[in-house]
Amino acid sequence: MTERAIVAEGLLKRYGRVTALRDTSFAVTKGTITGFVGRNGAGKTTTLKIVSTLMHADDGTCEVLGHDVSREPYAIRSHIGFLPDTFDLPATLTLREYLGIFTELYGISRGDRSRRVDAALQLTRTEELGERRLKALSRGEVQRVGLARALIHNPDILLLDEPAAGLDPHARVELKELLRLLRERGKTIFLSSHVLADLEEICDELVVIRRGAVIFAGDIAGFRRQMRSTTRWRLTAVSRPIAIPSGIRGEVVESGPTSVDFEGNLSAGERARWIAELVAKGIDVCEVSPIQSTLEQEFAKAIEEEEEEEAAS
Amino acid sequence: MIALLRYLYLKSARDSSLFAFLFVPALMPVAALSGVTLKHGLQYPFYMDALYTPVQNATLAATIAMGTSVLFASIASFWTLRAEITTRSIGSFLLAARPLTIALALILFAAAIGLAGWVGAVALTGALTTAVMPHLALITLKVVVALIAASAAGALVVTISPQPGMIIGSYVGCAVLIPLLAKSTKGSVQLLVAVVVAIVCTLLAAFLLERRCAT
Repeated sequence: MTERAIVAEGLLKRYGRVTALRDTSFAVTKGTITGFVGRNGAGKTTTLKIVSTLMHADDGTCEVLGHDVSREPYAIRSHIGFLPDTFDLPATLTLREYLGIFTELYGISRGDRSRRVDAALQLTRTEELGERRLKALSRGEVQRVGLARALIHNPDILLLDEPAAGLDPHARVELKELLRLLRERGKTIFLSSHVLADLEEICDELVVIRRGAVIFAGDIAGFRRQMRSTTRWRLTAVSRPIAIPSGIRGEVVESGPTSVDFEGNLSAGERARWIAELVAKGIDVCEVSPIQSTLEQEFAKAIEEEEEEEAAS
Repeated sequence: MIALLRYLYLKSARDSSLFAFLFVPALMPVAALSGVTLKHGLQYPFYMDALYTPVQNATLAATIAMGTSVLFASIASFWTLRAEITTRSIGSFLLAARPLTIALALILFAAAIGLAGWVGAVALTGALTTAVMPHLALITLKVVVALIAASAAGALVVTISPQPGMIIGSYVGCAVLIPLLAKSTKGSVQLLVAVVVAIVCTLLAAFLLERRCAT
């Protein structure tokens, strides 16, 4: 049986008349990277704040490592590292001073503090910023400092709210590498992001939230299945247009002078029959390749479907 | 607690607010003494009223220092973590330390600044007037209690709302505390009230500190 690091059931949160979360339930498996996806205002930050114990839900339960976030917040806090979506750093402190203070706050022994700071700086590739005042950092560097702070006490669970925000493409690649490394070290990572291509690359599981309700929780393959994902196939001929044989299930989504993009769950037999028919007609097929839809497209589709259902009801 | 005090010290020393909070309690009575004295030409000892004895002048100057140090302790408490509370960055501290520890660290830090300001002011005015106010030990004890109460009030105000305008709340708190201090009688009831105010404000500030992140 897979162990759960985070289990949320029926979370409800209201800000005055606005319902931020309604019956939100999901689970995060230990040792995995779980992506948290949703539009702006969907309830991602509120959920992460509840999981981090900094906010109380109006109803429902949330357990982190078996501890209830409302009843035992202090038992949880030393096990989590939280990177909020927005935060401020004390401009006049150096990065080393800042991280050093957090090693003390987390009760790390005096002899170990410097080593922990070095390790956090190394992990987040901020060694060269150690002696620099925090006011002199760029947006991307600030984000990495936040990550270093979240890692300073070697937590079991990392809660990251938009960790890639403000990072340049190179830093995003480094972030992905870091998250993979942390997963290898047994950390559980629950992160929200709008960069779905990145999530697709690194995430084991996905939680999709819309208007405060979870519409999917599970692995990415499961999400595609739920979306009844169809694969797009591209057939390219050497010189002549491609005709679609009868009896093939699916639809043409794009056609060019010598190629056609066809969407449908074609079996190997159907593909072979199609190619054979085209060859029999004298069309030299030079390539048949699948084009998998991106997570971004699937996400947009999921949201669209939900909205259509809502409008219909 | 030590880590938080270090953080507050580094932060306020680097942005120079620490020096303002430290020196203003001494500068206010010194400015009054030197202003009145220099108006009539350079004389020593300095005075606020030529008809007063040096002890009376020292008492008057120390009373101004008392009020200013209590007021500035309250403002230091309001100001030092204001940015963290405004931006919710206090959340990262709350994950590492209990809210009561953070509130206590803030109050102790501000009260220590106030006490240092008071000691400096008494020393400076003593040097300028060649006298010290009577019952100095008792007054210092009352100042310490008032500094803690004022700092706790400042911490409470900033956790209610970190808007700069709320600093008026600190002034109002001190406006109640300072007249109590000005009496040189023993005033054990006044001290008790100040202690109760300090405890209630500290507990409320700790509670609200955590609530600030929850919005």
